[in-house]
Amino acid sequence: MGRLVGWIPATVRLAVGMLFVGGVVGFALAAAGSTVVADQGWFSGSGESAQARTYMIRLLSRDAAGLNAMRPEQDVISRALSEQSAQQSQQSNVKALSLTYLGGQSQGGLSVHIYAVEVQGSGGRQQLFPLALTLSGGRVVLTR
Amino acid sequence: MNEARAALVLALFVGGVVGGAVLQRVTDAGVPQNPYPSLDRIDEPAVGAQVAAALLNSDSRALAQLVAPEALTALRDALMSPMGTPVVDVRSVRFVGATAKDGTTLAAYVLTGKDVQGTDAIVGFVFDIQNGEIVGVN
Repeated sequence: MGRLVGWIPATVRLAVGMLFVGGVVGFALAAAGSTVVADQGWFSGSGESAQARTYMIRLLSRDAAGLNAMRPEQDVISRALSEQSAQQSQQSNVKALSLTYLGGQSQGGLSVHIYAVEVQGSGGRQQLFPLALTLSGGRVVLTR
Repeated sequence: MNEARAALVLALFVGGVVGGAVLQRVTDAGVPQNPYPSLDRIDEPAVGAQVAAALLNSDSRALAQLVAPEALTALRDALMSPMGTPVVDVRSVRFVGATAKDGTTLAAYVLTGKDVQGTDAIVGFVFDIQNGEIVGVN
């Protein structure tokens, strides 16, 4: 190791090392801080949550594994039921036509985000229905 | 000289911290792009505003006049905290957005208050409005 960096002046090594260490610390602190702020709903007002949008996209694309990852830890039976539901949904001819974020609000560690979903069934019939997500700690704890 | 060196080290470290934080914000993906089209947003429907005011004022008479029995039952079921307990002390009812298509209007609200156990609660619900009347609550 001494031969690899020995030719570099000590001052330069010190400068690079401090910048690197500081950069790692700054990156980690910013990432942790943004996670806490998002989970607590600080400064979010009525803005759409990234987790809520991700959940809705996975729901409409019938990504059962992705949905389970965004829900609180469940028992294996509940996860299996979710997989079955997703498989049945995939076999249907329901097609998502639109996804509209209506709004949301945060309080304490909970945030509510409401969407309007438009789908078209196998008979061509279109339906517009709402979905309200309740998030806590970045996970969807309630869907109405 | 030692003080100057210490100041340099500290300045470099702080500069690195700031740079790392900036890099994290720049590279943060944020909200993923919506792959589906979105419907246009509309203003708050009048009947939704009236029901929201009745909820906030605990005006049961106004609610009975504005909302059909089936929808009122659905509204009661919707106003349950995430813990499954009814919200009995309404602190705020806020309209967050609405959209409409083919004669159906969806008006979304967020209610905050306390449940029967005194725990803070936040609930989202949506009025299904057709021909100026609330026909359903989600």
